[in-house]
Amino acid sequence: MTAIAYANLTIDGQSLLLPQTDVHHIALAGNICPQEGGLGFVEHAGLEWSVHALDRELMPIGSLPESRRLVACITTGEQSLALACDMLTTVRFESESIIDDLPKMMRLFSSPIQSLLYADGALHFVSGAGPLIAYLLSKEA
Amino acid sequence: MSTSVNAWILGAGSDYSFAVAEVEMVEYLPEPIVMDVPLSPHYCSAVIPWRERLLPLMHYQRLFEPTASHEQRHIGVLAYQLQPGEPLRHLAIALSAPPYRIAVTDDLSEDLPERYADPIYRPLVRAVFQHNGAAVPVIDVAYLASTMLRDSMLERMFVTPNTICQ
Repeated sequence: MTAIAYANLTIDGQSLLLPQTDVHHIALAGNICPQEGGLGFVEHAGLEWSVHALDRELMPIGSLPESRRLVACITTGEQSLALACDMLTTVRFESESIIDDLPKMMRLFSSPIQSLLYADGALHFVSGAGPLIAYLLSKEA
Repeated sequence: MSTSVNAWILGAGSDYSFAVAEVEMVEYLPEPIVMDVPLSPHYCSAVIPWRERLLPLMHYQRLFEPTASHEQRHIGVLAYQLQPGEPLRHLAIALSAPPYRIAVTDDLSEDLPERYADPIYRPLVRAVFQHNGAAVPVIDVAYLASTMLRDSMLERMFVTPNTICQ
């Protein structure tokens, strides 16, 4: 039986799944360096990772809720940023979990959600560093 | 001499009844599990688990009234094909009441209800018949599930075309 592993970012009760290899580093929100005009940045591997935050509807927000205790440094290799989350775990889903591409009739170009995964009575949103960074940067523009 | 065919009448909110062909109504779910999907169209913003799959859940009334109630008490699962001979695809639709079956005679055709005269909605209607004093459209389920309808709806909602995905 094949198990699929993801980094599971919990955001206001929503579960956002990313390939484990897309998450480069995890930092504490307390280590965010303030920055004018933004939520700040975290330093890692000699880089400044700009911090972003989403609400339960996965819409960008301009302040950091207290529950966002961690930041996940996400990279495509070419583009990088940090996303605040309440909790970050590694999860493995067995192959009998339902994973479907987001139906085309529900798909908006701007959405970072690529697939839906239903397991143990809960729905998880599957994305990747590429679409998630593109989404966050498009909302920033 | 008129002939008759069976159809299902589906209630999707007050004054929003429509019909589908008998074979297109696959299952009625009185107690569905509904899960919201963020960043999706307002009329199709949730999914349900069904037979080892996740089906998009359409709120029909919200096609016409974006702020209509989001509540669903019942759900119907509809089947459609994009082309004859292709595998069946499925779509869930929120209903305000359990569906019921009727026999439709082919001499009961009526004019198109006014709401469907809009170019966005016109392709939804395959036929119209009279039932209990009201004109009931027979809906094209494949168009209901199409990206063509999605794109038209979003353009109508003032979303710029480049935010729509193919």
